Amino acid sequence: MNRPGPPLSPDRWHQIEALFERALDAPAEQRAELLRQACGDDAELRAQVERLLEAEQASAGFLAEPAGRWAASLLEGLAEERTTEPARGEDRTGARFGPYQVLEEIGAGGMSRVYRAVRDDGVFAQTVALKVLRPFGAQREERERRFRVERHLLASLEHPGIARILDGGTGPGGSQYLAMELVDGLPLDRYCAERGLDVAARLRLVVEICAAVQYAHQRLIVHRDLKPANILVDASGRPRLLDFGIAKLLADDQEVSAGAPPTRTGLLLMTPEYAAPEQVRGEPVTTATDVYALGVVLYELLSGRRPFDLAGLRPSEIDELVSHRSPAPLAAHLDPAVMAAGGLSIADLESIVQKALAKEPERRYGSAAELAEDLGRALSGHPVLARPATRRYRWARFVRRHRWSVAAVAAIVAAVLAAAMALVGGERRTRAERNRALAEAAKARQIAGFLHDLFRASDPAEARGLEVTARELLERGLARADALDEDPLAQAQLRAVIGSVHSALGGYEVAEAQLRLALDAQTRALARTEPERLDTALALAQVLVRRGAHEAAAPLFAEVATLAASDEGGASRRALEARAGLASVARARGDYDDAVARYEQLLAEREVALGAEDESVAATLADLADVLVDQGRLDRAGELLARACAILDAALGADHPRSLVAKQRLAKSLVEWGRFDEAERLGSELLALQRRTLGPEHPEVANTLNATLASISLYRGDFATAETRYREVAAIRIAAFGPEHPDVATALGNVGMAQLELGRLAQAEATTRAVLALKRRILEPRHASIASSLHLLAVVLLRTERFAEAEPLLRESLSIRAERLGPRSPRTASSMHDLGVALTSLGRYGEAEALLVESVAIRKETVAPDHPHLWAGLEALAVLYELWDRPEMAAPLRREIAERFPDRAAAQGGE
Amino acid sequence: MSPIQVEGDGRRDTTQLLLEARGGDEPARVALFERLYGALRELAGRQLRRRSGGGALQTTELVHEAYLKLCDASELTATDRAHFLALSARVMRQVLVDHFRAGVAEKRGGGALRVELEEGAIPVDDRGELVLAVDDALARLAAQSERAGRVVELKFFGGLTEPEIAEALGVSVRTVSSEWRKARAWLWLELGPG
Repeated sequence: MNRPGPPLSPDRWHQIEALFERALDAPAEQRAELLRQACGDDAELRAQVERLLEAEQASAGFLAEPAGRWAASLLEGLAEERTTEPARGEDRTGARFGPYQVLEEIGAGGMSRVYRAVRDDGVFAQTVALKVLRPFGAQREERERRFRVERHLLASLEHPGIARILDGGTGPGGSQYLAMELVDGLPLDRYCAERGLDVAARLRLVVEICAAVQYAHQRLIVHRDLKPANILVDASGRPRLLDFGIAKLLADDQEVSAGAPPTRTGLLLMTPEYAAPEQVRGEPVTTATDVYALGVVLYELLSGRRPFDLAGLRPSEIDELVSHRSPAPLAAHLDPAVMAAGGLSIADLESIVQKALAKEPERRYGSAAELAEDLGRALSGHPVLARPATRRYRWARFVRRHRWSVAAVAAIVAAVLAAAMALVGGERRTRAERNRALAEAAKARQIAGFLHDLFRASDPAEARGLEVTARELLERGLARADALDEDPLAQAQLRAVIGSVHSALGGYEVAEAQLRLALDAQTRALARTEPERLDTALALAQVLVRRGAHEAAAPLFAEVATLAASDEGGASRRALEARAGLASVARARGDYDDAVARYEQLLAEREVALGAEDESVAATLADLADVLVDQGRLDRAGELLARACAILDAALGADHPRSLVAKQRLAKSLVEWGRFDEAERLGSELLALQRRTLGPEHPEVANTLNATLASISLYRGDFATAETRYREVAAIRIAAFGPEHPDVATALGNVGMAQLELGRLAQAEATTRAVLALKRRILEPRHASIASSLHLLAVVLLRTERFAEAEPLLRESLSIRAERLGPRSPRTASSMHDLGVALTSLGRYGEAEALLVESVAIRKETVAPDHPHLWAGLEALAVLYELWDRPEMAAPLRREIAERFPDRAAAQGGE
Repeated sequence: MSPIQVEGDGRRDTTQLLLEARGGDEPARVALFERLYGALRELAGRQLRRRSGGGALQTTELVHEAYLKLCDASELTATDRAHFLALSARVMRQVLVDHFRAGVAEKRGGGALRVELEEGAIPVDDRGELVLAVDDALARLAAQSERAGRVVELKFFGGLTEPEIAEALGVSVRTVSSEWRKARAWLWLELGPG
């Protein structure tokens, strides 16, 4: 009936035309009368004019856009919605669709227009949203059938978060329409902006939205076009989803009319900014597609922008971006003030968003409900599932779990303040050129702003009852520093401060990165001798040593030592610190004699320059003692450490981190010395303090545990406890440093030792071989630590009676130890002891005797008189003489053993 | 951006052709049409490239751009300009129809597009068909009402505004509006579902 039929005669057409124009000009309510009068009994004329009038109304907006507008969209395969504002067109006010009469247009998309309409057929008086779909296209019947089916499916969705579909049908000119519950609200993004919602409130909205999406998904209905414009929030703050499944309906429509599977049809129909990679590629759409769109919405609500800016891109470019590129990190766009106000971790939200936006559907959250649950965890401060268990994350978690006390915040603020003071303080005034002073003032202002933000975040009112963690303060500082591009020096200064604080908290990886950035910027902008730059270089070098990268640290220390000495004098704080750094590098290299010489020199200079009671003297004492412990010079070490502890307790208080470190070293030397009871007491006390102040996963806790309680268990023969403790040490260190770190190797080496003592020889051998390989990878070939692993592996071989195999290992270990630790260190003695045991077993008694005698002599000098090593040495020598058939030599040894170690029964040698 | 390639003194030449065509010279009209066709096609391609694929073809802008590039405005009256714009709309219609036909051909494995485009596979949706259908129906509409046909051509293909159309056709804006509503309703019935 729509075909006008054969061409009309010009006269007839003019008649129709004229009447049509007259009717159009007349008020709508008078048209019927006008036509009745004008047509008289010419029913055909009247029908034709009426049809034309009806078509005029139905075709509002038809061809409203010039064809050229479509050329580019067609060519580029893009939806016109993106590139053109909705065509104005005449409105359909007053038009009827089934029982609904259009009141006004309230929205328009590429494929449809939405009107406020009223049902006025006398059955209901109801205001609805009327969505009128595009009528044009082929295969109308099939499309109508599908439309009906979908409409009934969609009408079954009844959820408070979903706008209901009430009705639908075919209106004038064959346009399909849907009547939907009219939601009086604002689009999600506008609502958040206008209400000024904080992050937590935004997240709660998304959680609610997820619940509605989940409900539909359980009924196998996918939205396909989730975006803020389709989510209205009403006055009571409840989000309502519009257009559920409409996109599918439209896509089906396309599919039918195109007569082929859609390629980019889906993209044409939806807003590409919210399209998941599979949608962009025209692949099947699943519930995971909606999860992706929820991720985009989340990203947008948090950052104020979408993951990808697709404006003006071709489909191939959109595909490339959406399918292969990662969106900019959320943190880059987040307003730190907003985040802190919500008491939320940026990193957690980042992980959640990234999981929702995963390229592969199967890597996203399994459902909208899972996304909602993780958001709930983020809101309540629990670990989110999205966070992969990376070491950095675990580190962050422990800092986070350890809610930082006022003292810790104060420490950070003090660090920042110190930095700020350094900028404006007296040290600078001597160079007071005017411009420079101004620049400094600007920097100081930046820092003051930073401080202000920190304080604001720690203000309970601001933080809304959630304690702000040190980690978050640092994150905020980092974001702040990142934003300071226009002032590279202030930025560098902030980075240096942040890096130092991270270093103090054990976050060496972040610390290194920040300090490097700071140093690079300062090197570009400042003279080489600028104190700020030297401080940053020092801090970086110290972090590098802690990370085991002492070779990279050495040139930095050397540079600072030289520059500071030439600029400020050899006794300046920086020059001395840099030289202490060089000493620590020597120690890390295993060059203990060099280290001792350097520390002793430093100690003398510091005592002269600063007085014997200065804190830095204590630090040098402790450093020196550390090397002495390594060398086995335990009594001297103990003495130095006791002095250091006294100085630090007096200067800083017993709980201060540096006092704790000094105590840790003292405890370590007590253990090596064999004074286990004292060491255990000190170690336990120390651990409790450190766990409380640093958190249970801080690397220093591992250091204390390793050096005191674990080793004590080992020496006392409680090997099971020792193994557990060493494993704990290794776990903390792996979390903090990653697996390829010298301290990890040491801890695992100790695990191997405990396994050996527990008689789990195969396990011990495997562990020790792995540790040896690790050490050979990351340490110098003659490092003392390699000697330890060689020795341990040899002992395992001795226990399995592979004496010949053990011999070369023991010889290498002995040679390294004699060179690096000194010929008479306790560890050198241990290598001698076991080489002697191996040779005894091989029947080479003469060679064995010399070694065992020497090792016992050294042990008598260096360890406590009841140390198990001394017992083992005496026992081994006695056994040698018995085997060698020289009982006259064995007898006095047996007597000595009985006197010194009355509790010990005769046993095998070895350690 | 290099100037449009037009033989001889482009402006003078085109202006002359326009004047001759207006005077009823049929060969001049054909020559002008061809010149405009090439120019508009090139301008269209350039416009698309300039917008790096993001924007739709702005036909109004193209037609005006062509006028400025091809004609010497000092020698032409407002009527000439309206005439030129009207002719450009006709040419634009041809450019677009050819273009969409090529798109359909491309989809069927036909030859490459001559105009503007770099992308290989071009999804063709209903719009391409619609443009071709409108072009087809327009011939029938023009047979019944030439003015209604011209209005559709100027508005839909030329992208001209109703005042510009009124100027080109020498009628009131109200008439243009009325003609458009009528033509639109007619096309709706002609092309609508069924």
